[in-house]
Amino acid sequence: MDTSAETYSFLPLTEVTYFILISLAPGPSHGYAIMKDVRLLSQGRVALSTGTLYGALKRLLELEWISRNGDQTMGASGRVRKAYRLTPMGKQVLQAEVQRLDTLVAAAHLRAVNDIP
Amino acid sequence: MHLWGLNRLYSLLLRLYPPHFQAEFADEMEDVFEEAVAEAASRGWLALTQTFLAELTSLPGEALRQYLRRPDSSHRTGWEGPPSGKETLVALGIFGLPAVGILLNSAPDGSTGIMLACVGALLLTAFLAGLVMGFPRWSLPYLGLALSGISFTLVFQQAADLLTPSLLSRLGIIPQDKSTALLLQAMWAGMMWLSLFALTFLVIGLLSLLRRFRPLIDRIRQDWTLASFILYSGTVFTLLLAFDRYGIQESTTVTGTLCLATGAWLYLRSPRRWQRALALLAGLTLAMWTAIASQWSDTLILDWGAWLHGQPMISDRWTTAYQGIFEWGWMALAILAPALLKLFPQPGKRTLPP
Repeated sequence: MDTSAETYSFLPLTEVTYFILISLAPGPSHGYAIMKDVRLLSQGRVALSTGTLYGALKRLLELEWISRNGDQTMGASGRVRKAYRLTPMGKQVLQAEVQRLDTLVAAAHLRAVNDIP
Repeated sequence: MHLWGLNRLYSLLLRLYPPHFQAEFADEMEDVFEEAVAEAASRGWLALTQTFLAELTSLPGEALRQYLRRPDSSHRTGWEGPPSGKETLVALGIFGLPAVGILLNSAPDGSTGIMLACVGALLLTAFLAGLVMGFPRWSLPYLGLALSGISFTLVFQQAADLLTPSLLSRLGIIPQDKSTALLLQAMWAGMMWLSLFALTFLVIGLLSLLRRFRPLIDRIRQDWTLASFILYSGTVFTLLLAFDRYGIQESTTVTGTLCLATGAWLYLRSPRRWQRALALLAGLTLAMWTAIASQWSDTLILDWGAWLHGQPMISDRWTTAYQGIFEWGWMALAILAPALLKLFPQPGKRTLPP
């Protein structure tokens, strides 16, 4: 895994960004699916409104961490659903963030933080 | 039926977003909203109300964020794109201060205080708005003005007290020789700008410690001309002081600040870094040399008799005129000095805001 200094300059990620990237990690997904997945992954703690979601998606598109997926499906409204997927850069940033969080949690376990009276 | 009404209302509210954002995402957002409320409705009225209120309350803030954000395609050149009309007006407003000052001087006695208070309130509002928003480009002139005011009153005045004639005579420098006087003037001119330069980078350094201002610091590291723009805006304050010291006429003052405003306008509209630097340098040079030329012509008129008879100039205003050249030199140096930031490692692409 190539985690260059440039990748680390983007860390730490905000929770919204982190969960959106996590949601796209398995594969492409469209807006509403991302919204539901983020709520599931955060155990209900991060509930994205449509505006927050698309503001974040716009930013991630500009940063080229995600891109629009070529495959499109028809929604119930009759309009085409646009899906998004992680780019290699987005994958790299996400992996760097997970590695950073792993280091933090490992430090907590090392000091048995959970056993503090 | 009631869901149709909510969907229709949401579609109307989406018009609060900037047109380019609507063109890109409005359809998707309507679809997602429809699915979200339909799913909430299946869970009951309470869930539906909560979902709709959450969408409604977040929409205005998110729409405003999109207006305030610029497209992030500028990471290669650092240019934030052409300014909107409003951004240009606000950013250049500071260069109208000298004209306001002239108006205040000629205003009826009773109204000067009120006008001064209004102008002060507007400047403070612009500065605070910029501070809250993390100093977007349009607010950098107000930051520059604040820093130049602080550097003059707190830094320069204290430092200038060090160069007392008694200290200089103790050091063996007696300011009676013409060349020594010129050297002193060069140092004097430099002190004001060096103090502004030092204060600006001290403030930038302090801001870099705060997460909120990291996007600003990244922007400055990607485009050093932003720091130059802050310093350039400080020229309004120091130029007014210089013009006052030289006894420059009001028409020349207004012309000088128009030159500064033109330089700032060209800066905002220049896509390449060297063009932005050149715009600031040109505006500064035109403004300062307008003042220098004006003073020289006044001095020439005073000394024309001696000049006609081939005798040495007797007016001591010539040495003051040279100070203008020194100040211009120091200003130009200060404005170009942020280019040294290129020696530091460049950041990656811009981070998401907190």
